[in-house]
Amino acid sequence: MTWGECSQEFMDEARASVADELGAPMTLVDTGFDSSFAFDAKRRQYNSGLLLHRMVEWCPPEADCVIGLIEEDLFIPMLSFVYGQAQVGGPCGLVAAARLRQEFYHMRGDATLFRRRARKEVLHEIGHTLTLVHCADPQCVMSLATGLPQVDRKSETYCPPCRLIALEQVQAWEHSGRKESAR
Amino acid sequence: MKRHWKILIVDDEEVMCESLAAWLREDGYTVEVAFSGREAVAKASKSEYAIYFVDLKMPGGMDGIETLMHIRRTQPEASIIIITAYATVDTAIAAMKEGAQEYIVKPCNPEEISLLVNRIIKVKNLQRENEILRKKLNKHYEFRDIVSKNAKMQELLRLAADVSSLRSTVLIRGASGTGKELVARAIHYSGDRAQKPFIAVSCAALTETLLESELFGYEKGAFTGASGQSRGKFEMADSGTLFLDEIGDISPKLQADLLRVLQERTFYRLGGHQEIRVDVRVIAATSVDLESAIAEGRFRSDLFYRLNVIEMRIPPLRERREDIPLLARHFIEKIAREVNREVADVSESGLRILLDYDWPGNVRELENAIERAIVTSRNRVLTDADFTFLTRDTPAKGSWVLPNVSLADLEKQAISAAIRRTDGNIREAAACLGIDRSTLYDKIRRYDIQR
Repeated sequence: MTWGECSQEFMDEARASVADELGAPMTLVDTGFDSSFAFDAKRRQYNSGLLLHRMVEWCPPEADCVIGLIEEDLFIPMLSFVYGQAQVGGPCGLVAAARLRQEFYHMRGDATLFRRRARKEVLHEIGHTLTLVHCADPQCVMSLATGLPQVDRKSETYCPPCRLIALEQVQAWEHSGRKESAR
Repeated sequence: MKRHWKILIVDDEEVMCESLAAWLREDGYTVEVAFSGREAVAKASKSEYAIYFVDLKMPGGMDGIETLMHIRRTQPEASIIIITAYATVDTAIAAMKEGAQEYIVKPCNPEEISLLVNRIIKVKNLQRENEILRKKLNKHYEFRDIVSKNAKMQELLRLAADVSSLRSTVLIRGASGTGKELVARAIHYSGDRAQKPFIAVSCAALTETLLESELFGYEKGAFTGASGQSRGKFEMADSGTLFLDEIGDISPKLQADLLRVLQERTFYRLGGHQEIRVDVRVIAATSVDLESAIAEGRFRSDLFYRLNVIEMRIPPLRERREDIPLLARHFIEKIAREVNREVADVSESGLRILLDYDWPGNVRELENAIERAIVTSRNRVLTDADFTFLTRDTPAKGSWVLPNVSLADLEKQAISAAIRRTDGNIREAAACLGIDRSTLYDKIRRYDIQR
């Protein structure tokens, strides 16, 4: 689902990453939701927790996983920013594009670099909804990135153990749906 | 590794608590939240957390510093990180003085908080690993750790191996330093209970009330200072072995309590009303002559028979001198490695001194003598020159100068010295003095000698 208007390349990359890595179909839904309620004028950022909370309330029962895409910069009160946020083993995750773009740092735009970063962050947040926590392997897409050098260093895929867990979880969804498999 | 560690976030703002908790959960930690200082203190009294994030300003009468002070009282090992929106030098100093590990200003960089948490958890993992390794290193004993070719010792070790998997109570008797605890540990680690705890308690080291709470535990408020519930050694040793050293020294009340546990396998914590059932094998040890203690009414005969189901007597070192060369070489190998010295053996002249010495402190004294010689020696082989401290301490025959005292004083001194040398073992002291036990008791009473 998208929060407000999202660029085509962001949406395309999100859809492709899920199909390529997990072999699962993804449907893009334009909810028409307005994110302004989560805008913090003082910080000029959007409160990630509030957006995620609204997504959990909205989450349709037939969806195994809902990933929210947003162009704007996100934060949680404790931290200066977050690239995204997700419920570990829950249905919802959120990815922000702002800090993945070179333009945010007053540099010339690089569409290829942005696509790579967006793919990594979408797979990372989906990984959390598939029960994965941060991985110690810095090459794994599930490794923690607190800055762009770490995002750029990691690969666009899960390491073998994380991949195994992710695929098992996806298979469980296919078999009985999220609610059943969680039970 | 991370899931083992729990984190508690304390902040009156729910959104602040929940969002940081969610962020840390993504890192694999188990995270709980508390919305006030009081709630945090209540949670900390029920469960242990490795890290506490505590907001400095909280309403409700308990701010961050006060919360920190309360938590540190019950969990001094916990790492507490104070969070604040406005940094001032005064509050930072106050927080650090009260034992906060860090002081961070929100919002902070994700990298900063991630590094901080990882650093604390890394130290906690190392501490835990160190504790486990230390326990393994200190507590793993087997029969092969007991060095002897003495026939009596061989027989004792065979008996120990035979009874290692039984639940029967064992009474190990022997003078101080003969290795009673070593035998007890070997019995435990060779039997079915090897994977379960081995808990050792020295009964002589504690007063009656302390020993009572140590053995049976206590409930909150059982006595002044009992601020929380505590499990006793009997509970800790459940399904394992409890080693009660110096059993001859316990008070009549504790003797009765112990007898009850041995018979019923149940007991109550001090101040408690709930009966606790345990499966504990008891191995007791003593250097005291329990038969004499029974005769004098200082030790219950029914407890003695309960303890003495399987009796093992470890002979003093002077009665198994053939073990001295073996033990000396065993200790040289062990200690040289520990203190990083290239000492490989002991010469004939060195052994002569060791064989001639009386070893009142038994194997422990021999081990100490070898360590002293290794530390002071500059040679690869220990010689008689390295053991002069043994000959110097023993007065040479015929060189003793009689002090200018009465015969009664002399007798009193001789008896006191014999009792000291034998660690209060009346039978041995009487043998040393060349008199029988009843005569010795008579003289102890007459001269009012402290035992």
